[in-house]
Amino acid sequence: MVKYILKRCLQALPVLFGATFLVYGLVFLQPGDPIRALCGQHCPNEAGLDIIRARYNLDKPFILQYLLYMKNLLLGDFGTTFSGRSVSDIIATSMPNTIHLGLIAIAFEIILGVGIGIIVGIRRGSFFDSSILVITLILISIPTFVLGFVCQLVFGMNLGIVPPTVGSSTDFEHMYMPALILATGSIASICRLTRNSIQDNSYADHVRTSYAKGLPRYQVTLRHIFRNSMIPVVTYIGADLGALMGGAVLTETIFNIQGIGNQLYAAIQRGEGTTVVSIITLFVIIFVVTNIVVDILYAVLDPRIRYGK
Amino acid sequence: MENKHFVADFANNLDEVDAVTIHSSAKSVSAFSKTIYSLVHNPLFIVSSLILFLLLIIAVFPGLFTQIDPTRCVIREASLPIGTNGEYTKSFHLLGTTGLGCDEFARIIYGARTSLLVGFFVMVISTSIGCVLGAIAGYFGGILDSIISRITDVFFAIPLILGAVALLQLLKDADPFWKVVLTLSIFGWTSSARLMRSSVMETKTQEYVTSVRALGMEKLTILFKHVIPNAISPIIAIAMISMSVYIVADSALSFLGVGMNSSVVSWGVDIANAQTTLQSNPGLLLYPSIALAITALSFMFLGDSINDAIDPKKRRR
Repeated sequence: MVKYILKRCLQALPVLFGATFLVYGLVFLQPGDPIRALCGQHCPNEAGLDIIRARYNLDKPFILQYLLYMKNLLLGDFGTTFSGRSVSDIIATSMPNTIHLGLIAIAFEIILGVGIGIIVGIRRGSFFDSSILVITLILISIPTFVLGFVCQLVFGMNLGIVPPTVGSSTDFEHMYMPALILATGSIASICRLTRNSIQDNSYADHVRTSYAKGLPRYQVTLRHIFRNSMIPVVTYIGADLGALMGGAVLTETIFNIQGIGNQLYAAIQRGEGTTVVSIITLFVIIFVVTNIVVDILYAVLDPRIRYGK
Repeated sequence: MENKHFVADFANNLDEVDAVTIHSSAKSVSAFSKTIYSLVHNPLFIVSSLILFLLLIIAVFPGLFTQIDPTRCVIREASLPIGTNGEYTKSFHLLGTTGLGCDEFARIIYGARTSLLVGFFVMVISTSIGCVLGAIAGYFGGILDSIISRITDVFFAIPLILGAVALLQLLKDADPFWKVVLTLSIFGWTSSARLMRSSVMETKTQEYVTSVRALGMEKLTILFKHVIPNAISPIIAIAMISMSVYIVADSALSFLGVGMNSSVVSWGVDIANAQTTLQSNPGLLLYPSIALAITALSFMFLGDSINDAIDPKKRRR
């Protein structure tokens, strides 16, 4: 098991470096001189510009810039924005809100997605089953931001059931609607996945054997169908984190949640490359690390992965 | 299951090769007709193809549905309610007008073309990249597979919207339509590559592939004539579903202000612009959103029903 975990971590390293390098390159290979754009008409002379460039490592070759950036990143320093605020500071103040939002969203995914999925998986072919299948497809195809606006308008402004914007208060009462909207697509996908997985497993040989040896139905369902059906679902929740983070940018913007996605949106609007690249890099790191954890969890659930090739 | 063993046993006996060929070709014809049968008997497939057919006609001949130019905006007729006649242009505004006085209905009709084209181009480009790389990785294996799989992992680690935001920052001044197509293709090909890789790996161990190899067929010919045609069917379903993802992603990028801009008539741009009038005129947000959701939904239904039809495991039940 330890060997497997080590192997998996080593495999993730090139992915981590490759992905951060790609994002870094995308933002810093932009044409134009960011320092000159920063000072506009009041630029100091060339010598002065060079000092500022040296401070941001802009005088060094691109590869070296990237390596220095990664070195600082590993030491917990995400660099500073051109306006002087440290990016780590921005992340530290806004990240808790995003984590809060994300955790509520994932909780909804597990409770609603897996819960409904199990029910329709067991009652396959019923009217309930087919209507859930259609409803989930509808939910998957509605864009997050459209759903966000409509719910904000209907439930927040017209009906006044929930607060229309979140702002600085991040208690559950303010957060549950944005989280539910953020999770909607994933809830629907997880529901379908759980249903299909349970259906596939109910036809498996070992399930037939368990019935044949006289196990009661609820025991077969819990022990033999349910446990095996959760394996693809766990993997999906990990892989889906990427979509969740992309969606968080939209949801946080709409509901004015002071989270990291909102900061990313603001940085895009201001055209601040450093902040954009730092936040996206952070998202990529979280994504890669979560997927290692999910893979290890996968190996715990399914011994074939551990002992196989 | 028993039938399969029966065929495999026969394959060992060279005298019976003809019998095996007849058997397998008869099976493939029936599999194809079963697919078609289950498609035309699926109401979701019928409904979604009809909607998509209508959308296609709208996208190709928008002039059939509205006489009004979507880019002709008359500020004197701004924010008209549903179904009013413009006093200045003397034209009937079925869904009212936008805050700048453009006809909302005409913008939705003409916006269909942009959305379908973005979805179509991104689907074709990303699926092609994915199929080629996935097939190479799955078929040849070894070092090629390792390299391609690692590259796929790197791109897969960057979430679609976030990667697109970063790249679109770089392409700020490029053509608004093509930069979105390019960006979504670059970050969208990974799932089809992974699927194609595993599908090809599964197909290349099939008995008919082993038999043509034993008959001395070229490696590349086997790949193009036998492996790819048989491995590609799950990709088709995923490609349809991914079109709805790309169409939605395109409008999300417009919403974030990095995608297409107002020089293009597009649902995403209209939704983004309607944010400001959300309270006074929610219809401006609602109509393009409904159009967007119906389009995405139709592709989703189409892909899903194709997926069900080609999967023999599901068909049996």
